[in-house]
Amino acid sequence: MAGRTEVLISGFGGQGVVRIGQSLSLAAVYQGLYTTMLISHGTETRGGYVRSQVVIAGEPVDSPVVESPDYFCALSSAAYSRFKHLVRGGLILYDPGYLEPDPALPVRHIALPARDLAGKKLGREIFANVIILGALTRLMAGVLELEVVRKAVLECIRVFGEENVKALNLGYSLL
Amino acid sequence: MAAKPIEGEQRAFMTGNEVVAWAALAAGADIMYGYPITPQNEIMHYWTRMAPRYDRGFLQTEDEISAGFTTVGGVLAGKRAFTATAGPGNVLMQEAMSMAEMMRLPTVVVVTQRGGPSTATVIYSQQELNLTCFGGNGEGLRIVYSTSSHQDLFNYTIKAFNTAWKYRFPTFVLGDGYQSKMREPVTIYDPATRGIVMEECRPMVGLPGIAGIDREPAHLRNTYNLEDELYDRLTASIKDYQAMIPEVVEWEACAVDDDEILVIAHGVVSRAARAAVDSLREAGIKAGYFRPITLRPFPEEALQPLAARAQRILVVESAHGQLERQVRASLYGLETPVSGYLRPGMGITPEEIIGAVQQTLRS
Repeated sequence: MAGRTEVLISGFGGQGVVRIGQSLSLAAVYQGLYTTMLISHGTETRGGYVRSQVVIAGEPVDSPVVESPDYFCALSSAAYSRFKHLVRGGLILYDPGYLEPDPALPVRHIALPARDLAGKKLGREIFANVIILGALTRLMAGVLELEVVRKAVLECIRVFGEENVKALNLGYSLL
Repeated sequence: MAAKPIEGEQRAFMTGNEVVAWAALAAGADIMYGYPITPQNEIMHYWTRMAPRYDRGFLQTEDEISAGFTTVGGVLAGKRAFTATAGPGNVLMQEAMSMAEMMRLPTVVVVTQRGGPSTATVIYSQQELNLTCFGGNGEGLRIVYSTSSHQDLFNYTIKAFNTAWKYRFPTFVLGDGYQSKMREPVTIYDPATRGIVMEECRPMVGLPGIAGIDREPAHLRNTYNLEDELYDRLTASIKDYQAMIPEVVEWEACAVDDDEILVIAHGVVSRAARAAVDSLREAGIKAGYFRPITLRPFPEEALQPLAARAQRILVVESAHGQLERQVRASLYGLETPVSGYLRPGMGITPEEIIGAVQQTLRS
């Protein structure tokens, strides 16, 4: 691939924001691409802002800072308000369980009730982040392949492998 | 209600450490937190002797890290709190003072510089300039007053409380071991008799009502989740600091109208520099004198035109170029040659400065 794909994932601590970023970046490594991943978070283990910035490119990445994300995953109302204006040509994937989108924002929004689905279909809300990752993988077709992301998820999240594969496939199939 | 520690004005003959304790009492300081270290000890000793008579508090902590943080705590509780330290103690206090910088807490620290690095000497130096101005993992958003006499120690200790509480930046009185231990005459006074109004101290925590409902939340944070959050906070603090500079920056100068050589010194060394300049003038040598009183913020706008007019600049200090670096940074781009008479940890006499000036003019 050529060019640069930017992904911004943000929510609060405990949602698995960092795992989404790690899995995406690791998948990019497996595919022989160049990638960087930055994490910003506070000192808390739960709550606060957490942000993961992923850049994937066909050539060495110059700045690891996401300027205008192609994909912004908003997993909290605070994160959405804070970063929505960065999105210009990209789209926003959000969980309606956490936030109401801004109707005045002229950007494509995709609602994915990941937390709700995780609870209902997989028995636990903790799989919501991998559902989001599945949906992202579908959206990023042409950049990342589902099979490679699956391998990366199993590497990044060493527990609940079976459930996470289900969650990934579920997210992928929804879009 | 205890009586005022000082009624009106009184002439006294005492050590610098005693002067600081009296000044803190006169300023209405509520509590001192401290840990012993020479040459600061007697500030604590005099304070502990006098404080109970005027309903003031004292806490001796287990080390200077704790003394710094308890001072932070005292200030958060709305107390006019201070501490005093030197050398390695000043090093340990930097973490707490960084926190004060981040949270905009009006801490007051009196530093009595001793020799460095490390334990070095318990006597004297001007080697804590860098540390006091820029210690900690931040941007040096502090006010540092460098005193040169007992009168300065008294005046600026009182002023430090007001500057700190008015602008909400950690404030330091930078003295040294010579000033601490030396005795000289001083006029001590009740600030009110000179029209000095002490800034009101208000608690920042434990406020009545529910944050976000009855009142704005205090947002006293020293930790942030995102780079942008920190950046926004610091940008606001830096803007406040820059706006404050013209109101707090202080210096003094003399014989600078026609000087060929400008002698720059701070603290107790500035007394020798002033004497040297007077003697040089009597001998027909056109020397001038400049003394930064605030080392942070540094009086660069005042210094620049004086430095531009002079043909040479000589920085004199009991450190190896800590003041000289400040001077050079302030004068970047100016072609006036700068040299230093640098004597780390050593006292400096007017005769030495006269010699250094003559040598500089010959070279």
